[in-house]
Amino acid sequence: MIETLEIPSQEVRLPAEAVEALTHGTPVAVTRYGQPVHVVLSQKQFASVAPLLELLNEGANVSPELLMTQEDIVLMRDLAEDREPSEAEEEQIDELVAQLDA
Amino acid sequence: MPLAVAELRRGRICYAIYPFTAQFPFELADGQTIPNVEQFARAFRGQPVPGKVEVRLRPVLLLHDGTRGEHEDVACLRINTAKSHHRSHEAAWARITNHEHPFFFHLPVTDSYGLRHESLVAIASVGTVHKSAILAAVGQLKTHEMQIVSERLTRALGLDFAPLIARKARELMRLAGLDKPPEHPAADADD
Repeated sequence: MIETLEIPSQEVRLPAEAVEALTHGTPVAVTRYGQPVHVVLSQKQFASVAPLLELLNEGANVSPELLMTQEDIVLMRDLAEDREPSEAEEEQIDELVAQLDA
Repeated sequence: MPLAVAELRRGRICYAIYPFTAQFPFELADGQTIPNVEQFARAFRGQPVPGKVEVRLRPVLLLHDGTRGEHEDVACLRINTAKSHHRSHEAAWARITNHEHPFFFHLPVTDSYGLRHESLVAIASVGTVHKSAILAAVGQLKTHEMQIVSERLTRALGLDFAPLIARKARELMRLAGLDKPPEHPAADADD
């Protein structure tokens, strides 16, 4: 079982919108200077990811696909299918060819 | 070959012909289209078939030295130029630029990388390029950067190095003389 630090609810002040988001299954990211530093999950969501966290803490060999978000998968596909060279690439290729010709 | 073999070192960033993966429906060189892999297998079994696969001259990161003439192919990872639609994946992009993403390695524009545009190494895109298809080397990753790439590659491919590490540890213990059993086990137990 993954170790958690339990804090009574009276000691944590969550804005109403955060409580509502958690009720609807939306994780709440706590940011500092615009960067997320903590993420609060509902108990139900935590229970579903706790086994994966346990495996990661143990250093077990977890399938990399389990560590990818949907956004990661879309970006990976997007990059794999990116057929258009950038202008900078084409310029660099022109220069390399010119150097080889010189 | 435009590039000297001695230049083909692990960590080099080169421009090379890198193929897009073949997928179905697959167009043959004669214009015929094969709808799926099962039909392909029935028609051609294991025979080589000329087909239309796109290739592109693009930057790649060499994964091992290709300096020995006997080896014609060099393992590499694809490098993509960062474009606005890639950056629109905001959460993933933030992890990439913060060097926290396990499936990419961010390459900002620097002299050492030699690329003219912000780019990224796609860690899971392992491929090979033939030495004759490498145009030129433009830059290089530092040793510690290649160590990061190696660690991410190990995770992305789910490679299990435990037996290798255990063997290495046993070898080091043997060299240090720590692999021998105690000379007086009973006396040790009394301690």
